[in-house]
Amino acid sequence: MRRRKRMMEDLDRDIRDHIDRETEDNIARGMTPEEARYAAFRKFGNVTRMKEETREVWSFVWLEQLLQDIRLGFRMLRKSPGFTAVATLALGIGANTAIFSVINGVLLSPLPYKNPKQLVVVKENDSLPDVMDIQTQVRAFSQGGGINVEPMDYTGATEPVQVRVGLINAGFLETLSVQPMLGRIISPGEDVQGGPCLAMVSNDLSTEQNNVPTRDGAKTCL
Amino acid sequence: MSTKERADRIELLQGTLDLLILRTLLLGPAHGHAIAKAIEFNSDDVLQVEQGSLYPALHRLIKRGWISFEAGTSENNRRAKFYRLTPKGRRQLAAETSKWDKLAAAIARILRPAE
Repeated sequence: MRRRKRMMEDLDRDIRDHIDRETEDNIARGMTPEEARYAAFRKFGNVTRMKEETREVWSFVWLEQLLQDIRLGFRMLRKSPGFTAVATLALGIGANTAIFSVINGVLLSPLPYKNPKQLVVVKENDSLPDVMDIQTQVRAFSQGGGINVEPMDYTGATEPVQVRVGLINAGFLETLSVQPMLGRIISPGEDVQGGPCLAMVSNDLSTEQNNVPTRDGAKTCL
Repeated sequence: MSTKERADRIELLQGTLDLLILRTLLLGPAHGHAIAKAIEFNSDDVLQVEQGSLYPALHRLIKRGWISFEAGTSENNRRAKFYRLTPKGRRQLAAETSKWDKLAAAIARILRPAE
């Protein structure tokens, strides 16, 4: 498409140029300038029709090229039928594996938590106190907890870094029955207003920032 | 216009213009007007090229890859597009020329069987 446009843009200049040259030749043969120009146009013929014919030359180039590419593709495949069969098999197996991996992970495998069938996720953009109200007032669940993830700054390292922090209450890890590698989880009674300031860090963070303090159990490694 | 009478002139057969353009460019790159002039001059003004039909033909040849073009300056410093024969065009010219010879000989045999 672009090529056609470029070719057509040049054409107008070429025509003008051609007629100028012919006019000059005619003047050299002794015609007056008007005669010369008129004769040049007459000899050139129908400009509009000629431009139309030139445009037609380029009209379906992109389609022709696409067809050529497709033809080449088929020819290459026909040339090596063994490869085609193997490639088709490989693509088929690959697609099935990919789909199975997703289905298996999302639908078939149980969640790695206690009583996964009884777990329910409730999503709401609410504060943690609201979550705790839900927890105490709704009777349908035996246990529950809340988490509110947001980015925060960790300034204990040589340079401050931003980390994703989950603000949780005591019920959260207990419901999922997750145990830390070191230390303990937050116990009920500690997640109240004015309670102690407790944190768990991931294994990644504690190895990356190897000076994360673990003293007093105030900060515990997960 | 030339001194020849219009009646002496012969219109080009369909498709022969392409062949004549290729043959003309065999001598070296040329711009559109020069190609038209060369065809008329070399045929002693017998062949009448409607000069406008030259350009669709040139574009057709470019599209088929038989000729290429480049911008250049001609005598008296004018900007002009120069057309040049490609190796593919050279092969095409050889094939078309032998086809033309066969056709011309065959028609001649039919028209003058006694000779």
